[in-house]
Parts: sequence; C-alpha cells; structure tokens
Amino acid sequence: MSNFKDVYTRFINLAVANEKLLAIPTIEPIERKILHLLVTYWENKQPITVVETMSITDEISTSTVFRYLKKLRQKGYVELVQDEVDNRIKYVTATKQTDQYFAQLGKLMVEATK
Amino acid sequence: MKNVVYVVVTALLWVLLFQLNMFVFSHFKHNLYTTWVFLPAGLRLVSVLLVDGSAILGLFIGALISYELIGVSLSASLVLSLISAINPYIAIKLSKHLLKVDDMLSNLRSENLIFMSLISSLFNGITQNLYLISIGSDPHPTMGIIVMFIGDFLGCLIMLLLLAWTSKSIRKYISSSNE
Repeated sequence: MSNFKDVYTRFINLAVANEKLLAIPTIEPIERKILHLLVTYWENKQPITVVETMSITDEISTSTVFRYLKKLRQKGYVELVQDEVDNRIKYVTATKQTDQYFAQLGKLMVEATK
Repeated sequence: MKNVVYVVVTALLWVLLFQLNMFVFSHFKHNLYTTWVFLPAGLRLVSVLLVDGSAILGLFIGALISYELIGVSLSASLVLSLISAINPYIAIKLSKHLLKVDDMLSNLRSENLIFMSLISSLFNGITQNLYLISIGSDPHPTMGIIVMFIGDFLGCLIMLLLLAWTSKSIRKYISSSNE
C-alpha cells in the first residue's frame, strides 16, 4: 500500500504530465542547440550518458546543459534510459516526439529550397 | 490508517462529483445508468494512479452510496459499484504495463493519460452494459455502450483539463508571490 510521500510524488508526476495537455511544447534556443548536438550521437547509434551530455559543448556550462536537459525531458523530447548493468548510468535517448520534430524540420528545409 | 484516509477521501469525492454531475449535466442523461458526460470517471483514473489498490474500496463505497441516492436496487447497486471500482484498476494496471509507466509515474506522459482514459472508458462501457443486458435493464445495449464510453471519456478529459488548469494556476500564483 502507498504511503503519503509516494502519493505526493505520484501527484506531482501526474500534474506535470497532465499540464502538457494544456500546451503545445515549444522549444527554446538552448534546448534546440542541445537537441541538435545530441542528434549526431543518436544518428550514429552512439549511446550518450547524462554526464557526457553535460559536457557536450564548451559554449554552455555543464549545469546549464543539465537544467535544459531536464526541461527537454519534461517536454518529451528526450528520455533517460538506465544502463542494464550499472543503474547509476543513464543514457539520453530520443523519443517519437524528437523524431517528429526533426522530420518537421526536414520538411521545412525541403520546402524552403523549392 | 492512511489507507482509511484514501478510501474515505475517494468515496467522498465520488459522491460529490456524482451529485455535481447530476446537477450540471442533467440534460445529458441517457437513462438511469448512463449519461453523455460522467465526471466521476476522471476520479477513477486519478485515484487509481495516485493511491493504487486503495482506490478500489473508495470507488466501490462512493458508487454504492450514489446508486442508493438515485434509487437503484441494492443488488444492481452492488454489482455495478463493484464493476465501477474494479474496472478502472484493471484497465489502468494494464495500460501502465503496456506503456511501461513505472509505479511512481515518473515517465508518465500526457498521451499516456489519454490512452488510459480511453481504455478505462471502453472497459467500463462494455462490462457495465453487459451486466445491464443480463438483468434486462437496457433495451438498446449498443447505444448504452457507446453513451457510457463517450460519457466516461469526456468525464476523464474534463477532469484532467480541470486538474491541469488548477495545478498550473497554483504554480503560477506561488511563483508570482515568491517574486
């Protein structure tokens, strides 16, 4: 049976997921930059951990990357997958929403060149 | 003790929402058992997600009291309340398993909530109406299933949107008062 702490944690997670029903997720410039850096790893099927992502670029500090990574996760653009052997390691992976985002960008590029 | 709190709160909220639903959506009533908008369906979803198994008893007691208030026979009330309480639990457990949503809902997404609402409404629409057919209470079973499915789904959506709007407003208010 659930204790009050668990119920409260579930409520917060439910509220976060639920609030997304009200808004179409928008993407900020720093989030876009991080996403664009991540996609090169995903395209090469190269796994990338949260720690590695934090130092993915010299232009943005590690703490800022981490903060925006959390935002990207909340918006459904990235997912964190735990390592099967060492559960301290978490990999940053793409979601269906990320694929749709890049597919949309691709379409816009094609239209722009016409 | 905490489980008693969950049961009492769930049952109380059910009765309040049921009464509110009868008052606000009285024109949307299809028959004694079904309505085109059923707000307590949203409580089924939220309570099972939050308090898991404890929600079953709360939903059962709440539904039993509500059916009693509208004059449904005791035997029908007992069966319908049992279906109304167990159904969402099974539907949401199944959805969580299919969608790989963990127990703490840390990877829950808004689309998952829509899917859970759909499955829960479908389960409820079919099973409650199967019982109503078996006791000869529903002359148009297909229509009954459709109305209950739509009513439950709309109820879930309205409740989720209200919850989202409330939590967003509270968060905005807290952050503006901290500035």
